Amino acid sequence: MRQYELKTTSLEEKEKAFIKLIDDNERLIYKVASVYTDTYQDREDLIQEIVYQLWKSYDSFESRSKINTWLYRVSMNVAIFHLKRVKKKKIHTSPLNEEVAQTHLTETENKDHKWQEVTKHIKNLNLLEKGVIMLYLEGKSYEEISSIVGISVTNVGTKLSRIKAKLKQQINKSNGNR
Amino acid sequence: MEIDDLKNAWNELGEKSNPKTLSNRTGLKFDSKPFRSKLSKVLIPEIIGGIICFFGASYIVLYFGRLDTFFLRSLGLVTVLLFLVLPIVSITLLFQMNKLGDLSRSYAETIKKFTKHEIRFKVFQKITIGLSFILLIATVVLLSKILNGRHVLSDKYISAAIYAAGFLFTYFFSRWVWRYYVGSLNKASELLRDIDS
Repeated sequence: MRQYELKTTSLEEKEKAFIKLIDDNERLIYKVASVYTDTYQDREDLIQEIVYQLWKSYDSFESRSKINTWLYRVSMNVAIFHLKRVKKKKIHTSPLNEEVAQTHLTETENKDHKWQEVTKHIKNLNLLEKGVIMLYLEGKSYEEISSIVGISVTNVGTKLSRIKAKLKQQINKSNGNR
Repeated sequence: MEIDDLKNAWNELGEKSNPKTLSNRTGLKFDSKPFRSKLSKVLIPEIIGGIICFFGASYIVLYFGRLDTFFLRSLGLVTVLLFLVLPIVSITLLFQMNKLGDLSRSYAETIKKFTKHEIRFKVFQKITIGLSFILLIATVVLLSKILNGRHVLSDKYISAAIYAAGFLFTYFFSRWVWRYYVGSLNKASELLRDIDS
């Protein structure tokens, strides 16, 4: 954590530390952006805005909270605003023939396909549920989820079991449709 | 796919190699251009509407002297006030809703803040659409007096047509409001309850 600290650093050092922080946490930013957007362009716009807002509030995280908590909070909060600004566009596609699709998927494509499946299920949840499940999938403890989201630890547990049941239902439904 | 598969797929993303790091990809422009342009898309129609309303209000004020009865003068005054107040409130609410504020606050606080603003804005929009019909009638009455020197409501055929249009509008408008706004307001209130439960 010390490597990201800002005290007594010059602007150049501050920028360097910030770039390192962004590079070290790019997966986190990418994942948050993917969960809250539907198109490639929207995701890129959201990533840029998250980086911009992180830079703008870089000084505020200092000693006030853990860097991870601050990063998640800023990224997820920016994503809420983004989601509300972008009108949901319905993309009409022809139904995918899963069997054909699976045979032609390479390993990387298969990973992408899986990833799309994950985000598809998460996107059907409400804003609060989206945030809680994303942090759970990231492997955060109930205490950490509680601190980032701002609800009690007990409430995290209750919500998680409800979300898991909801997801299971969704997954079963989508498996049944195949 | 099961819940555990979800977790695996989520974690697998981290293993995917990325040819360019994020700082290179975004060029670290520290720029908010895409976001600002999205906000403009929301605000521009409101601002254009506001300008049209302002011209409408100015026109009525300019020819206020031609309104010769107490009824027409009162109608003129209410119309001017509505033309000025409604766009100002609408733009203010939109700005409030899109103000990022302190982004390091908790996620639930942001959802609460945003959802409360959203509810307020939608309730206001509901009222505005209702008032817009009254404004439409008022404008017809006022313009006909200002331009032709005639009080249209004194003509029984025109007033009957206005009442018929009013009835049809109210009927279809209520149905639309019920379907669109009530649904989305319920969803927003549900989300707030979910946070507090």
